Amino acid sequence: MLAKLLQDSRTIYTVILIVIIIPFMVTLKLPIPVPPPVRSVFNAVEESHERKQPIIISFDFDPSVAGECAPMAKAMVRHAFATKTPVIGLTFLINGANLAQSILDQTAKEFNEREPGSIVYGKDYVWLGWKPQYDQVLVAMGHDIKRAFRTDSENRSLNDMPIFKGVTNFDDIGLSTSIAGSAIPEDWIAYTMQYKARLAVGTTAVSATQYFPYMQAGQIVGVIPGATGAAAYERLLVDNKYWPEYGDAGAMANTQSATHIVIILFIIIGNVVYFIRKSQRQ
Amino acid sequence: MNSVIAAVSHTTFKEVLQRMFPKVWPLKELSDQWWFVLAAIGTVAIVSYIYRENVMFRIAEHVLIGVAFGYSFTVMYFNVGQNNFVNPVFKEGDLWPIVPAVLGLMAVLRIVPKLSWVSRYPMAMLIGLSMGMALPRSLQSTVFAQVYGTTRIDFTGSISQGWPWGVLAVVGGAVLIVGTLSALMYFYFSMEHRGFVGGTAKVGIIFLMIGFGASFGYTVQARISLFAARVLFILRDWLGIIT
Repeated sequence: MLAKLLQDSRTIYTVILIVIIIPFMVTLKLPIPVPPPVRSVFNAVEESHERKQPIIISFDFDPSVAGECAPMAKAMVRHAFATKTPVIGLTFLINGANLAQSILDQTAKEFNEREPGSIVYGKDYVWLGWKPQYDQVLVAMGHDIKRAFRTDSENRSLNDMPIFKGVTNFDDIGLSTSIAGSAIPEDWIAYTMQYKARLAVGTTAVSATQYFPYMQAGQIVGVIPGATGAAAYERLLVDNKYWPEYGDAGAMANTQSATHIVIILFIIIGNVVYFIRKSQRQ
Repeated sequence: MNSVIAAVSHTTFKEVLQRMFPKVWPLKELSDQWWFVLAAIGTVAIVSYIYRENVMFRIAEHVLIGVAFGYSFTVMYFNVGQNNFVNPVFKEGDLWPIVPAVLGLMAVLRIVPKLSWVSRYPMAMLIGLSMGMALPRSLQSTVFAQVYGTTRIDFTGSISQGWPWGVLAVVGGAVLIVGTLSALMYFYFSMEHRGFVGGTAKVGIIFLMIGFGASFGYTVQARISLFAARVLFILRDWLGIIT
């Protein structure tokens, strides 16, 4: 009976579910380290603020990976709003358009509730919406961002917005960031590396190993890898007093640690059982 | 499956429906709680597949596909059709957008058997443009810049950063060079893998296996994160058990 239960994959799912739930219930605070790739992205936003240049955040993710990408997007937007660094938001993934817009709008609302009128649309941030054929759009943005998009997603002219004052192409942008669960950042790297704007990538943990070589080669300034990277970014916001509390990624940090320990135990137990059975057969 | 779980997002549903039916269905007046309930039911229905396939899972799956299509169509119309064609042509009198619109219609003719040949012209143009733009830039970013990056490891600069990241960067640099060369040797098939070449290829296999292991670890982390995010949504946003 017990052996049959242990061989059922649903037992593993149940254990994982319990291990995910318990850390949410207890007030256990495990340390959240900040790796250099995440700190580099944070510093790049700070430097954009010092240079008085806007940053581009391309929300290239859809709801399927929102659990990982949305917290890092929200943390970056909070950082930019807290430092008064203008944010130009766009997406190249159609299913993520409203999700991304809601992140920008809700974060602006949070800041305006704390300090009315502190974040103004068109001055502190803009939402350009979705465009198809992103490779061609990136080439067009390299010439003139305002000509590539003409209007924001609500058909308001970009020429009338203060955020675009002095902005022509990527040379006038402090940092471009593509937050994605796909290979879209690779095209950002390919099509924008000849400009002055530095590039950062926020990505799902699955894709993280794909982008570290680009950082090592100096093509991007940093990588935010998955929910743990987002939690590290949230810690930087808290440590620098830009935001009083951790967000969703910080809330999931304990869960991540606990679940990883259980999975490591599963792997060890599985291997031990494998070798015991192998020796018994021999 | 995680994509299905997370796609049942209350924000997306609400905003899309509000946009599609602004007068018919004044959804702004509805409490957010209803959307939380809907999203939570969707999540539970999809996760129920872990136990076994069932009617709830099937319903949620079909709803998702329908909503995704309707949503994509709406965003496509408002972001591209309206902003790039309808408004410039009919409101501003700019006739240039008619040219890409005609090319787009030519591409759609692919579904008409007798006129499908017309679609080859815009497709040829699109592929030619994309190839021309992508080839030099991809070579630059994925080949030349990567080779350059492998050969310019700053050992002295890294060590000055101190413990632990600086020292790790130096070790990482050495590992990078050995790993790159040995992994390349494993995929070099013009010489028999014996002696020095065979030994180097075996080292390459070790590096490849470590790479696959790291990817697997990140994959586990990613899947757990996505599931944990939905559990957080159910416990905090829907049930209000945690704050």
